[in-house]
Amino acid sequence: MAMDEVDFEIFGNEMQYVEVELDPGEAAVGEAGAMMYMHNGIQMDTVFGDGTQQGGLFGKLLGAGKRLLTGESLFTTVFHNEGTGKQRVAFAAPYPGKIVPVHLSDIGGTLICQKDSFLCAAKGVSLGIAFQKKLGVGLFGGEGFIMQRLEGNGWAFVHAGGTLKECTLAAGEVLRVDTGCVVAFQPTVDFDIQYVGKIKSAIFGGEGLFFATLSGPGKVWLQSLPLSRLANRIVMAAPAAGGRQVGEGSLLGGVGLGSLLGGDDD
Amino acid sequence: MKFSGRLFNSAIRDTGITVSGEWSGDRLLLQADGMAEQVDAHELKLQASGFNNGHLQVSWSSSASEFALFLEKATDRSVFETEAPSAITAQLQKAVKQQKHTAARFRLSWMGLIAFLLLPFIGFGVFILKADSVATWIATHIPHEYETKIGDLTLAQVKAKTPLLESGPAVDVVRNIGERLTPQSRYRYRWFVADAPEINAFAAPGGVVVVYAGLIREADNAEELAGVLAHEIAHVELRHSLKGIIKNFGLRAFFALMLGDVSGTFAGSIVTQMTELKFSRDAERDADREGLQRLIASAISPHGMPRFFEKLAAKEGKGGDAFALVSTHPSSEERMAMLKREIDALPVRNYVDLGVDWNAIKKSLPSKK
Repeated sequence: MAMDEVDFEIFGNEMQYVEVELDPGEAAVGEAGAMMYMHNGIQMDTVFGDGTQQGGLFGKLLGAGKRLLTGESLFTTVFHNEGTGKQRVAFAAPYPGKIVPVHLSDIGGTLICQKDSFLCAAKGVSLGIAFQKKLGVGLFGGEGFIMQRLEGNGWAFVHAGGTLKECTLAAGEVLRVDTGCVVAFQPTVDFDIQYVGKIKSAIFGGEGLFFATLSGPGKVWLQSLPLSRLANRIVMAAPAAGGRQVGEGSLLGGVGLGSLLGGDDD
Repeated sequence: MKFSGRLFNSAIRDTGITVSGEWSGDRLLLQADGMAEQVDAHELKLQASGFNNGHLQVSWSSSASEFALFLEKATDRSVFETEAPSAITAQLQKAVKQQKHTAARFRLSWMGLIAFLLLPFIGFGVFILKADSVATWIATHIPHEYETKIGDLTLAQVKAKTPLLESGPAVDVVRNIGERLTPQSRYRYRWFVADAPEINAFAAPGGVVVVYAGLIREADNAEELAGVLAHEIAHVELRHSLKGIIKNFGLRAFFALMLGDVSGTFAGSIVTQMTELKFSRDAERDADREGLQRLIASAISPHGMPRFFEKLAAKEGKGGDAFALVSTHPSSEERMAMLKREIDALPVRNYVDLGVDWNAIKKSLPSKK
């Protein structure tokens, strides 16, 4: 399928949205629910699957099933410009972090990314599933057994939590990463795991038993704050879930002297 | 033939460029916009690499810089592999093996996981299919004392509903015939006549046999009673009700586990079921056969057995009142035909006269209410 070449602009710092400009006849696919606003000439069309399946009902069902596995919604929304001039549609990131624009043809046409990280893409990018076939990586690599494969040659936008680190590894160059921080990589990158090496670090080091290792060549994108980590801290700090109330001006804290001195220890 | 791949080198773009390559004898020729590269096969190093080891990585160094060529698509790789010079065959095989190894392990664990998830269902299937043999196996490992206890429970329940005669001519006849049919039994039988008009008889585990007065009234002679007794005794000796309980218990336990619903009613319902246990067809057939053998072994004429069942079936056909014995024992033409066939096949012999004044027995029963 021919790719639609779209122009885009990313707004915001820590909570971003991307505005995609569509020429008449062009289209973009967005994750269901990601749309933030759109101009008048844009038509929204919800399709089953990812909008690239050509086959009959079976092909569509298969595509939808894959989307379910990767944690996306069964439907994607296609936004096409039916107007006369250029029109814009914006997609917002669902949690604090950065939007990563990747031009698929620059990296060979395929991007492997964390499941659930897809935000939007030019129409024609296909969203597939990439099973992590190395058992150890699937179990301990922090990304699970199911990853997402974006294929095509237009722009695709994925979302990373926290701050983004984009780096390019030379052949044979290895980067050790905390599990869960890998957002996306070029398929030529070897994603593996490595035991932290010392019993003491494994148990008390707080990094878990394994590092994820990424070996070049190829480009990798890392996130500084996986959503689950952020969610974990928020839930732990929530008073309803047993966290401490850290109110303003509490001299000795919520109920007693202890929390007065406790202050803001989070 | 040409193949395409992605070439990485520090001098060219970091994310690699698409190149097309071909073999020319022992040399690998690569071409892309504005560049051409060639390398001797002997300098190549091959390995499986990339995501899932899904790429074939061909690396070499020339003029102090490192090159790495990645082939992903199956078509590109097959061109590369089929035309590759013999110098790299060994390395190529190793890389392919490495790749297959990753894929095979993944597939294996996948299947293992599916098998594990299906295990309860497979177990359930086996349980349903093999319930009989499993129940038989368990039944043979249950001590007789428990059977006696279940019998006691059943008896207590029947007593609460129906008055039982424990002595009198009718009970004596039942006991006499019953004891003839159960020589050297591992059970201590207890014989009762229930003072109720139903045409029924049942046997609970552990040797509790209850014959209803209605059945004695319906029978024409002691041989017919003996036929029914032999059938019921066979149920006891073959532990049919125990197996039934085990099967039932197993199924309930299984469903309770599956559905997480452990209701308190189920211990009570087991006892209830004792009095109205429905035996399977096979169990009935086995009981018929075993009963027949017992009759013959104790030299009691077996003809009473099919005759009595026939009588019941005929009455049932006419739509008479509730014939408990028939309704809980799915008496079919086939069953009767089998009994008759087996009896006809027996050698002619003299059977003992049970010496029972049948009319006197009938009269001795408490008057019909």
